[in-house]
Amino acid sequence: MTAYPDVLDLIPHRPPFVMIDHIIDITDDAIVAEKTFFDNDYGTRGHFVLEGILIETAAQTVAARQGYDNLDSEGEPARGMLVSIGNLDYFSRAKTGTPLRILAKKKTQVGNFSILTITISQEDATVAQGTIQLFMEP
Amino acid sequence: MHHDILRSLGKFHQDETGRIEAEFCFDPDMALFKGHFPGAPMLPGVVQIEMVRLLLERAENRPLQIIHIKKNKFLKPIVPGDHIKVEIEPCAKAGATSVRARLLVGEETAGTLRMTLGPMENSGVRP
Repeated sequence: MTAYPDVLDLIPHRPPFVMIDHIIDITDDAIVAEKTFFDNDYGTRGHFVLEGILIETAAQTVAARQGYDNLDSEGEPARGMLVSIGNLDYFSRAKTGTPLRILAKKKTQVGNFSILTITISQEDATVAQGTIQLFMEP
Repeated sequence: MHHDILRSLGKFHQDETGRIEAEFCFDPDMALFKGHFPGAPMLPGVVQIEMVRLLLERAENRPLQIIHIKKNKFLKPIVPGDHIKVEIEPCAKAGATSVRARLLVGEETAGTLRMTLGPMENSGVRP
């Protein structure tokens, strides 16, 4: 199993706004990360994760991929910006205390803009799925 | 996060059509901005989604969960200290609340949002 760098070496985000724990897998066009929220973490309400924060887990997963690619070129973690979200469905609420798996798969890239499909799952069930567009600072 | 959003809320007004107007201003010293990003504070785009949700919860006096985001565009960065105006137009939908929202800083549109929310289910299963 591949060991990936600490996410804090890959993304510019810092507590309390770090929304991924570690990378699970990286392929040519996708990245999978994992995050477990606990009660009272930033971005939770009661025993559940806020829907908006789930999108942030996906955005930071993509940022981690960019940071990973930059490692070879000794670049600093680049800041990214969410540009848009499209047709995102929530099928259930994400629970605290159970790992979330975040898959971001690249659909298209034009310059520094990327469009990705995101799938967030928990206990093998899809929690949310949709499309995001990001701008990564060069 | 909701605590940060609610203490940043200033004016709130809902008219008889259900249209909501509200104003926010986020304190630069909030812990949130230490992490997003160090040395370059910026309001995370996803916070805009939660701002609109909280305003709707206040208007409907009940917790809501987001079911679908049709389109959310982030047009202009929002930084702490910006005076943010939020305008929400409800679109009636049986059993759910569909809205169009716009966030402005000054005269410029910083974000637009179309989403659907429903009553919150503690079981976690979408209604």
